[in-house]
Amino acid sequence: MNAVLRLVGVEVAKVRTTRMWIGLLLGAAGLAALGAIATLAIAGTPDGLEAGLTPIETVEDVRDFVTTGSIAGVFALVLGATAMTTEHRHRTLSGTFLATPKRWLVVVAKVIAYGVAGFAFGVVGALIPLVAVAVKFAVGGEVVPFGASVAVAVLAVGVGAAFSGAMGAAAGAALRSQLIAIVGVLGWALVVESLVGAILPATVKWFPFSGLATSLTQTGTDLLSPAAAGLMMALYLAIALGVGLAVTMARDVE
Amino acid sequence: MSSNDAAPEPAIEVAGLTKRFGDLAAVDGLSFAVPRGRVTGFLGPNGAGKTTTMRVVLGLAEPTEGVATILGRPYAALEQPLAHVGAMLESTGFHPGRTGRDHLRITASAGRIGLERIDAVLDQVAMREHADRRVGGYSSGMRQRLGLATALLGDPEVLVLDEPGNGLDPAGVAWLRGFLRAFADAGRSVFVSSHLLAEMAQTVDRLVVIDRGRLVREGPVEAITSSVAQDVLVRSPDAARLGPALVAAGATVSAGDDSAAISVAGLPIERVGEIAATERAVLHELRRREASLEQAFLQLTGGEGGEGSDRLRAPAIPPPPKDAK
Repeated sequence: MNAVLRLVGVEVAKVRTTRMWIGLLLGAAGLAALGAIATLAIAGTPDGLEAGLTPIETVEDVRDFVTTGSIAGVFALVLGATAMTTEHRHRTLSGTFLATPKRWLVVVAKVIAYGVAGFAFGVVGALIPLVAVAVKFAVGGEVVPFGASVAVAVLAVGVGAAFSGAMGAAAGAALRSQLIAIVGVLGWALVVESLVGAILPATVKWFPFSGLATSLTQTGTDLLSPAAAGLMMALYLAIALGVGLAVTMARDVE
Repeated sequence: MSSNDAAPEPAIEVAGLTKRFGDLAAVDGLSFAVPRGRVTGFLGPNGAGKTTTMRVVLGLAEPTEGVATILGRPYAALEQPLAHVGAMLESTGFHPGRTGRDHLRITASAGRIGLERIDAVLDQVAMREHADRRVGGYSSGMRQRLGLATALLGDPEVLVLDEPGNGLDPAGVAWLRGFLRAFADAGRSVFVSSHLLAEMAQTVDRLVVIDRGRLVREGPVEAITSSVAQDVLVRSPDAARLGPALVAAGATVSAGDDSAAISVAGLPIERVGEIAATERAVLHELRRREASLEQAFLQLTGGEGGEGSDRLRAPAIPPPPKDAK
């Protein structure tokens, strides 16, 4: 366990000492801010009501609004997909495995580290709409409605993004090309899940990036319970990790 | 240093190693040992299988058959490997956005090496002043020095270096030579591949020569250079008369640097002198010439006169067109 924790620290240091995470976090924060501001601008107006955007008034409204920060999970997914492929791209993998010949430790450490990074992305993404709505209330001389459910929602968005970061790292471990890894995970999360979901709506709740992430933060008859969603996430992650480990263990390092 | 010959186990041992990529055997039944306390050079033409062998030794590639051990164990079985083995592979890179110091810090943390070693190795390769710059802005020589610093980070007993002289300027190569010599003189072991034969000749104690994945020769440098054909240089105003007499005695004679010089192979120098005396030929020079490492290498790997000599033959290049401006 000590070895895993030490290597998680090493992987976090690898992320921290390069600049890709800054760009992705800025992208996540920017998109979350844009969505929050646009929603706040039209929520409750005739145009907004037509689009189903009722005014944000209650704790439950704030809780739901916070979940719009889930967009940060997409950026966490991309960051995760670069975990191993960056090492292939810059030919640093041989140095990594010379220091840690037990390759499975490296893959597991990456999955945990990028899960942690994803969690941070998700929390930042969820805090942005919360801050935006708090500012709107403050401008009107009021205090934003807040409750434990809002804090839980912020953490749930963080968990969803942590899952995305870890999934990106696990699945990305099976690939050499960074471009293919990024296009692949984005294609799956944004295109495949949407297309299949449009054709077979009943399947959406089983999809890792749309249905399960939503199940963590919202309730509904077409969603799994948060606990079931968490179990499914663990299953998906175990499968992706299994594939990533199998490929990493079997393949010669260039 | 001869006491090291009796060491219980070599620094590196490769036994019956075969590595196939599809139908191609990059390494084919290779066996050799790298003794402790010596600099062992790993020579072979491009594509001979040197890098593949090093990758298998370092646990980065799985052998198809055979075993490779460092300090008596497979690399992956070494406890804290960076503290025992330092490696620099030609194909290893660095993240261009990371500083040299951060790269070393990350490697040290991963390898459980104390961070105080970072400044020590930076000083060793004279890179301290560049350590806080991003690697993307480094010259190839600076990258090479950072690679060496990484290999030295764990203060290892064994160094495995793939073409370490690449990218270094002449001063850097001279430094590297001195460093490897001192490293081995301290009882540590170096296994170094290089295509720079002159650099090898001045640095290594022993050689492992491979070609097409197979062992060609293994042993001390002098034993290898003296095992290949030497010649005798004869400079004489009577060369035109002496040549046929030497051929008649069984020598192979070829033209020397000038009309008065001939190169005689296949006869000992004493016999050449006796024949010259018999022929009453005036001698201005009679000298045995040792084969250089380069000549030995070319002969051993078929690069000159051997079956693979076509690989090194210069292509016929036509003169430029007359109207070229």
